[in-house]
Parts: sequence; structure tokens; C-alpha cells
Amino acid sequence: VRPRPTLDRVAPGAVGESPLTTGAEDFTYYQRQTPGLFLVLGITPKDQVGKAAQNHSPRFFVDERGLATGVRALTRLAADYLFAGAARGATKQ
Amino acid sequence: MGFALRLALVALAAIGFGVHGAPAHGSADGVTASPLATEIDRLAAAIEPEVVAWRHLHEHPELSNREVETAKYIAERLRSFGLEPQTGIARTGVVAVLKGAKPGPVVALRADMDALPVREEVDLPFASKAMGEYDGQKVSVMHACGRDRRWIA
Repeated sequence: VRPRPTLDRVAPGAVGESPLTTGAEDFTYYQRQTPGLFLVLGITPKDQVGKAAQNHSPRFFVDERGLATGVRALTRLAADYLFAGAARGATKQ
Repeated sequence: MGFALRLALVALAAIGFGVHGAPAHGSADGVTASPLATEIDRLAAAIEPEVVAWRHLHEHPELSNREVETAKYIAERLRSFGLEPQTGIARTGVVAVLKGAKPGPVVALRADMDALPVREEVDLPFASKAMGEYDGQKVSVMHACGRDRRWIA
């Protein structure tokens, strides 16, 4: 499973891989059962990066212009994965 | 600081890949864009105003394990899409299955929906005024982690 090409098509030049961190997330429990991807969506305008309040702050604010990118990313990841899997299945038969 | 931290990003959603519950190692390379890509982008742009309008969840946050009204709202939205959500999963969770016409790989999208005991200080018409109980005390509640926005994406 390679989600990176899909994300690069959705947001060219704006995709990066996060360093390994040990946040308080339980998502890795799912990866004991199945491969997965933890996706982080940027919602801070470029001119506010480094100045805007981080999440968990009382002043945290989501710039809604980022939401459409999130919708496209999740939908296209699912579609690309399913189509690729279907194509591979068809080849096997 | 890494890419994610520098941008003060918010985790949107976590995605699990699998084929009938079994690990999907090498079952799909994902390198090729699906034929739906252009249509997906067009529809995403078309529904953007509706996605933004779901500020209801931001205005009405609930603390962890108490997302009763949030779960109802999400289940209702899923029903409006023609899905049949199961509710009460691990107390307040909501699960819906969108079935394809043929057997094949499975994709799971997962998003959390709990808010934090934080008093919102952002001047917004849809800022939270919600209260909750935390450690036996009355506290303000805010979606300070962006989880209201993960569900709507």
C-alpha cells in the first residue's frame, strides 16, 4: 500500500512525512490488525505558520479553506486503493 | 520540528487498509490514480459550502465518552446519505458500512469526536458556549483539537 502518490496528486508539493512521535494516540492498535495511515491535514494559512495557536489551545482555529483538501485526500485515497486492489484481483483470475 | 508540528496541523483522520480483515501487504500499489479522481475533485468542490456549514459540531462539543448528541448528529447525517449506521459502539461510537457492488478490498476511515475541557477564546459566531463535567467540576468544553472537522471531512 503506497498512499504517498495519491496525496502528492491531491496536494502537489505540500505533502511531507512526519517524524516518528509518541503522542497519546490509540490508532496504532488498529495497525496490529491491518496496515494503516495516520493522516494529518494542515489548517493553518501559510502566513500564520509559526504564529497561530496550536491545537489544544483556547485560541485554536481551523481555517476552513483546508477542509476541501481533506475531503479530496480521504476520498481519493479510498478510490485509488480500491481501484488498484480490484485491478490486481482481476489480473489474478 | 517536523513538517507536521511546524504547521500546527490537526490530525484529520486515520485510515485503515485491509482485505476482508486480513493484512493487505502488496495487494495494491496506489500509484495509479483511479478513473474517479477528476469526478471526486469536482464533487468535493461542489460540497465545500455544505462541509463548511457543518459548524454545528464546533458549536456543540461534548467531552470524551459523552458524545451523545454528537453521535446522534453524525448518525443522522450518515442516514441522510442512505447509509444505515450502527450506534452505541463502545458507548457513543458510530459505524456505517458503504458496500460496493463486488467483493474486493476494504478501506476503513476512522475519526474521533470528543472535545476538550477548554474554554474557547476565539471570536467566532459559532464559538462554543458548551459546559460539561470533568473531574467533578463544571468546565467549559471546546473542540480545541479539530475533531469536529475530522468527522465532516
